[in-house]
Amino acid sequence: MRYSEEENIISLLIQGNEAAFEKIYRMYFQRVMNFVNTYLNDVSNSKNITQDTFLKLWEQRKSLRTNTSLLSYLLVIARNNCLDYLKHQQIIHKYENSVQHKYKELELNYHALRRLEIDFMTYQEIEQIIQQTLNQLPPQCCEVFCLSRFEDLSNQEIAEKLEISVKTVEAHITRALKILREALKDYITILILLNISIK
Amino acid sequence: MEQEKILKLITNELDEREREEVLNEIYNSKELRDTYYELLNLQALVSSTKSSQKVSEYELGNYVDEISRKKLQGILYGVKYVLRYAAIIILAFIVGRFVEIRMAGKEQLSYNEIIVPKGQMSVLTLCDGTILYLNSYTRLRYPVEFSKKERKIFLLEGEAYLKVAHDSRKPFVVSVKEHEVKVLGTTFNVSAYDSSLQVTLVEGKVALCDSSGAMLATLDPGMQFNRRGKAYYRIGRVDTTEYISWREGMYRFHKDTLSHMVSKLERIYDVKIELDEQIKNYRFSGTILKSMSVEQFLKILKLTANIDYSIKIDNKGNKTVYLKSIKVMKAKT
Repeated sequence: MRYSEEENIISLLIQGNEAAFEKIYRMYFQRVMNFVNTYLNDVSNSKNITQDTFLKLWEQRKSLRTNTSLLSYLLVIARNNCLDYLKHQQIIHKYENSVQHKYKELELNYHALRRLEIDFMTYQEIEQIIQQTLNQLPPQCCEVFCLSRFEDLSNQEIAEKLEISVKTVEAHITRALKILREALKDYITILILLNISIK
Repeated sequence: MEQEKILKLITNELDEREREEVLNEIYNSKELRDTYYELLNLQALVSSTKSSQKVSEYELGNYVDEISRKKLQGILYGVKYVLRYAAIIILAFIVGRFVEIRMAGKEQLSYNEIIVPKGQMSVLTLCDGTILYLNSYTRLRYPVEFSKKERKIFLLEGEAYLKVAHDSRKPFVVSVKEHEVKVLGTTFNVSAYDSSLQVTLVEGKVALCDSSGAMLATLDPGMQFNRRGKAYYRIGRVDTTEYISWREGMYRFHKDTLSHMVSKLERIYDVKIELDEQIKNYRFSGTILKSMSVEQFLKILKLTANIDYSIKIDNKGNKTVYLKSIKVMKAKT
């Protein structure tokens, strides 16, 4: 979406325009949900949390400014919702003697998310860098990576779809991640450094 | 090579047994944990940059399905949104009782009284646009129409969170336990159960007066007026979320004694709770969700605090919970 367009839709949202809200909902629901589900690994609860996130956006619409990036705003809310949820789940799993590794996963994901400080400004930059980096990848590498990350296909499915071996799929993903990691190096280390004193 | 395994874990490529193995490895090594955090966060950020255009291109075949599903989702979402508030309102037990009170001399106001039973909550909008959230076991009297000079309501018992509509010509007054809270337009919480009174200010400014109208204090945002008993009150800075989170069905406790918690729990769950003398002064911090059942809560209490419980239900359906400490065997020396 172009910048001025987003400003326009935010000012409508602030006025309580439901059509604007619906548009935003359609536009970002999947993206926020992808983010949430990375940490929860549980589609139905991720959906609930994402819906709560949009509900909160609606409730807090009056505190928005037209130059806010909607997606970062949503992700900040989603992040807090996820942290609450994961914390709560950890307690439940700890005391219900459930599967040990599920508890470990919850704990790990909770700490991962705590390290991720989403800043309204830097997120826009990060998003840009990711887009640019993806565009610069070799075509097949980009396609494999996009299918894997954005469409949630398994490596096996990608291999069948593109008629290449699973090994090649894995190699492409690793390569793409290495390049992305390098491109985002400054951001991620800054993000992690910021949190060292807290943990 | 470890990175490969972690990636497979993140992208759900592993079977249950492998998952467990890899998770254990990561859990036990600081180095692997750092890598995992970094890759997971990267995955989260990357997956959220998915542009909607790509979806429609790729999922062209499922596009129609997708749209109708999203529409349904939207409707369900709408229903959920409405229900969330409707449920609270439906559950509230509104007493449409009119109480006629003759004001000294000129004006005559008719009053409504609302009673929220234990275990329920309610939302109320007054004629001036002020919104009141009422907690369990609350009695409130308010005029059908306000007088010309002021907007005055009476909190007879219980707890209310108020978003007062601004009107500089008509101050808003909450009369509560021989005190008056005067405001122009602001957001605050009043809790008046048993003999205690707490006023917590979220936004704006309020003034506290005693029954004779003499000013006791003014509060700024984040401040709390706290009175227990007649002679003594104190004003201090608090974390306001602790005192207003009940509206979202969350009850926060911070180093509260069990006997203090019990009076809240009885209202939240509409049960009677009997405590062993021994454990009355145990202190707890944490959050209780209203959506959690009383049994769930007791189970957590049992596991974390060595407190055992039993529940009795009498023939009228009233629940009584008995709490006592689990005897810990001590080695004799």
